Order: sequence, then C-alpha cells, then structure tokens
Amino acid sequence: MIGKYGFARRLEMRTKRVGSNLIKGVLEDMRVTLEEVDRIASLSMLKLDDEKRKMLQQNLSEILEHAERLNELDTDGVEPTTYILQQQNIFREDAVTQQWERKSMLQNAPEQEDGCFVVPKVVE
Amino acid sequence: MALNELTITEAVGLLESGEISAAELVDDCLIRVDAVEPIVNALVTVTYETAAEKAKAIDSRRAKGEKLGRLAGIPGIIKDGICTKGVLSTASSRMLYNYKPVYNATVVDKLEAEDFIMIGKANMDEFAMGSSTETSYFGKTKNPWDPARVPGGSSGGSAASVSADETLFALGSDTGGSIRQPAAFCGVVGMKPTYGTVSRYGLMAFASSLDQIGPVAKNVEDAALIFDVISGHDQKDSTSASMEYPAYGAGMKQDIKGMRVGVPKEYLKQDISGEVRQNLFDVMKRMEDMGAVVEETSLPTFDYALSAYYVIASAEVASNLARFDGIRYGYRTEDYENWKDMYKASRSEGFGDEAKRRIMLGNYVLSSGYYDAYYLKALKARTLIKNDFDQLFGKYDILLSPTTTAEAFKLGEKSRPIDMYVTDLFTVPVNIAGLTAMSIPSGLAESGLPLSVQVIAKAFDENTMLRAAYNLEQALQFDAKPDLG
Repeated sequence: MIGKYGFARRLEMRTKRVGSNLIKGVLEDMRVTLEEVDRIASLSMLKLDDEKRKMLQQNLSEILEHAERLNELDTDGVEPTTYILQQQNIFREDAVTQQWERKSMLQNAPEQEDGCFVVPKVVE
Repeated sequence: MALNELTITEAVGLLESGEISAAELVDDCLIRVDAVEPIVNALVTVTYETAAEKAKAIDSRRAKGEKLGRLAGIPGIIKDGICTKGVLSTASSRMLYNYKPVYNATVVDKLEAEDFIMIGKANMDEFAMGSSTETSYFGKTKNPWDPARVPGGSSGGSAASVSADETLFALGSDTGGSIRQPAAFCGVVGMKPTYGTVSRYGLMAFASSLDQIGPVAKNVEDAALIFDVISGHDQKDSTSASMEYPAYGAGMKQDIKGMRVGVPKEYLKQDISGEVRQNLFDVMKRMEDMGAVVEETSLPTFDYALSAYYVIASAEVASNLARFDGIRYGYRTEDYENWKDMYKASRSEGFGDEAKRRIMLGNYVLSSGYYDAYYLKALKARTLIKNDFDQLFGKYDILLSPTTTAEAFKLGEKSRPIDMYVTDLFTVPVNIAGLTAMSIPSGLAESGLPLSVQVIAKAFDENTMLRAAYNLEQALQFDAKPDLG
C-alpha cells in the first residue's frame, strides 16, 4: 500500500483492520495481551479497572502496530540518538550554590510533621 | 482601539512615549479576559492583583526616569506547565491541582528581569500530552475563531489567549508541535526554538530530549523579541546549549533574495485538504516573487518521524512522570492501606487517561524483551531522520510546509488516540531532528478558520528562519481576527 494513499489514510486502513478484528471477537490478534497490560500497569504504579485495562490493551496494540513501521528502516550499523546536541558531560564544582529553607521544601507536602514528609510505613 | 489589541512592538512605543500607561494596558487585557473567558476558557489562573500592582510600580518607576526592561509594562501569559513562584502551576492535571512552586522557571525570571507583567497561566493538555487541549483537568479551551472547535494543543490556552487578544504574548512549550499546531489553529505566530537554546529549568518535563519553551505572539517581530529575552545558556539546565548566542532578530527585516527554499514532496503526498495544498502553492509563489529560489525536494524518512516520536516521547514521559506519587507535592489519595496502595491510587486518581496511556506505552517499550525492538529502533530511526534533514540543509536555507494537514478540527472529533496523534504529522519531524521551526498564519479556509505554513531552519539558525518568516508575513498581510463579539 505504498504510494497510493497518504500516511493518514494508510494508518486509518491499517487500524481499521485491528478494529474489525475486535468486532469479530478475535482478541488474540492484538499486539498486547491483557497479562502484559497488567504487568506494565504494575510497573507503572497504576491501578486499572477492567474497562480501562481493555481500553489500554486496544490503544497500545494500535499504537505499537503503527510503531512497527520503523522495521521498514534499515538501521544496521546506525548509532542511536539519545541526545541531539554535541555537548557531553556537563559538570560543575561540587559546591553548595543554592540554599533552600526547609519550610519551603515542605510547603506543598500533602502531610508533614516535625519538618518531615509523612508517609505510610515502608519497611515491615 | 482597545489596548489589548496592540502588538508588543506597538505597545512598547506607546508606553515609552507616555501615551499609554502600563496600568491602562493591563486593565484592558483583564477586561478582555473577563469578557471572553466564559467562551474560550484559555486560562487556569488570572493574577489580577499582582498584575495591577506590578503595572502601577512600573508606571511609577518610569515617571521617575528609571531605566526599565525591554518588556516593561507588557502583559504576558505563561503556560501552566511552567513554574511560577507562589502562583498555582498545575500542568492542567489533577495531580498538581494545588501545587504552588517555590521557584520560578528560568524563562519567567528572564521575562521578569525585563519587567514584563504576568496576567495569568494558560490551560493546556495534561502534562503537555495532547493536540487539542481536550485532556485538561480544568475543562477544554475553545478556539476563538469557532468555539465548537479545538484551539489545538498542548499549548491551546497560550494560542487561544493571544488569538483572542487577552494578552500581548504567551509562552508555550513544544515537544512534537505543541506550540506550532495550536498557533496554526488559532491564526497566530508560534515558534519552537532549537533544542537547548531556551532553558527547561522549571518546565514540568514531558520528553526531556524534545521539550522546548517558545513564544506565541501576534507577529514575527514580537516572537523574535520574546525569544531573544528567554533564550540563553542556563547553568541550572544541563541540556542547555553552551555557546555564543547571537542577537535574535538581527537582520530579520532584510530581504530574502536568493534564499534557497526546499519543499519536501512527502508533505504534499499526505492526506491534506485541497485548501491547505493551494495555500502552500500560493505561499511558494509569494516567496519566489520576493526573489527566493523555491523548489520541491525530498525527505525520504519523513513518514517514520511520527512512529519514532511516539515511542521516544512516551518512554521519556513514563520516566518523567514517575516522580508523581503523592508524597512531596500534589494529589494524594485518601483511600489506602499501605505505601504501594497510596502510590497506585494517587497516580490512578491524579492522572487522566491520556497520561496513563503514554506512561503505559513508555514503560512497555522500555521493558525487557521490547527495549531493542521499539525504543532502540526508534532512537536509530531518529539518527536517520536527522541525517536526512542535515543533507537537505546542505542544499537549502529553509524548508517550507503546511503546519497542519487541515484547519482546526471539532471538539470530540478525534476520539481515537491515533487519529489525534496524526494531527502532529508535520510538526513532529522538527523536534525529532533537533531543528527550529515557526508557524505563521497564511490564509483562511472556506470554513473561516485560519491556515498556516511552517518555516523550518537548521539547528541554531533562528535568524534565517525569522528573516524568511518576517518577509513572508509582510507579503501575506494576514490581518483577520476571530469574532468573539
């Protein structure tokens, strides 16, 4: 489908295929499984109800299918670009240049006591 | 003319000559804000008292003959993802519904050093993720040209407020088009500076390798002035470009005879409306009339920029949003048994759907088993895309394209995430390749909504871009305004 249709139209056609598979009830065709959704939700520290889980499964599957277009590119021997500028290793002297009042650091705390953030018990 | 309708350049002249006062100027803007906000909803916070006080102080200092900053008395609006000391800064998220930073972003300090007057904080898509300002926790912003349509996003409030003459300028942020696309939809000028030229200190991070703060203004000259003020190396941002910064806007009014303009044909092969296509051809002709050499060229990897962007930006935002846990600031759930519950509930209740979607996508592509296939692949694609652009800039001074595939869409129209993402198709490659670009209004569609073109220059070449944009703007004489009654 190269050339005849613009990107947006090809995308629409491709994602319609995924959509119609859902209508047919062929959920196994989805890129992302519900188990994976749960695993990633756990890593992301998110709690999802069943409706959201299914929605995210569909969303992620569609988006990842679109991302797989990148496989059309030959990236053998290509260096990844993590940072677009040429400069590297920006250092400064290990000296205190800015002082903050404890009070201002706690200003937005949901719960504070004795100059500390109050948190639920972490260590059993 | 009501003073809120002035450009910065005009206002500075009238303030310096004493014909108007800062108090009057701020007052007219705030009157306009009160009149149109019920329709537009561009602002999360309006700083009535501090603005009036500051205006009074500036008028008084001017009367005493004190030296004032370049923006003395000029009202401006700051996107809500940019930290303003003591003033609510929410990134339009429930997660930060009550957050008042204890410091200013560097860009705010720089504007204040030039005596600008902040009149409010602009609404946005939550944590800058979106292209329509529909994901804001504080309600959708409407397009001043047609309230049934979106203003674009994520800097929708910034663009709408300038378009509606609530302010003389605004700051937005652009990661994949979030200044340029709303500027295009609202018929104003929006600029994404080269990555590294404007400090990100105090900008709530979305994608750390792509984000840049930039101006939204009524014309190119005003945008250039704001950019000149907010740019510069910043010790507090280790990604800030360490170099000699030129005076931005220098030479902007010189002609563009002989300027080499490339128009990548891949842009024209996309699903764009007939009007957008015709508008681009008109703009190309105007540039030729001014002596530029305009020709069609090719950017083979154009098609891949959007895919690479969604992988990279999501990965980066998943990491950046990990800090929101209800411990030190922001929203905390009331309902928990242990610390893990608290984290999960605070985050799940604090973040909207789009934020969750991107966090999930980001963690997925970074997770073991998928890292190479998606994230690493996208980073390599980024290199290829950057190389493609570098090649073009060996032959051309600037590249030209439409900013968007069509005029502003209707609220609720793009309900599928992918449909929304595609609205950034033309703007995203610029961020991926580390270039600079600006959007200027170039005509009106049949629907009455503005159309815009995008001028792209190579990294750190803002002055060439400004010169092209300024000349084009003068030739186009776009002076249409939305009718808000």
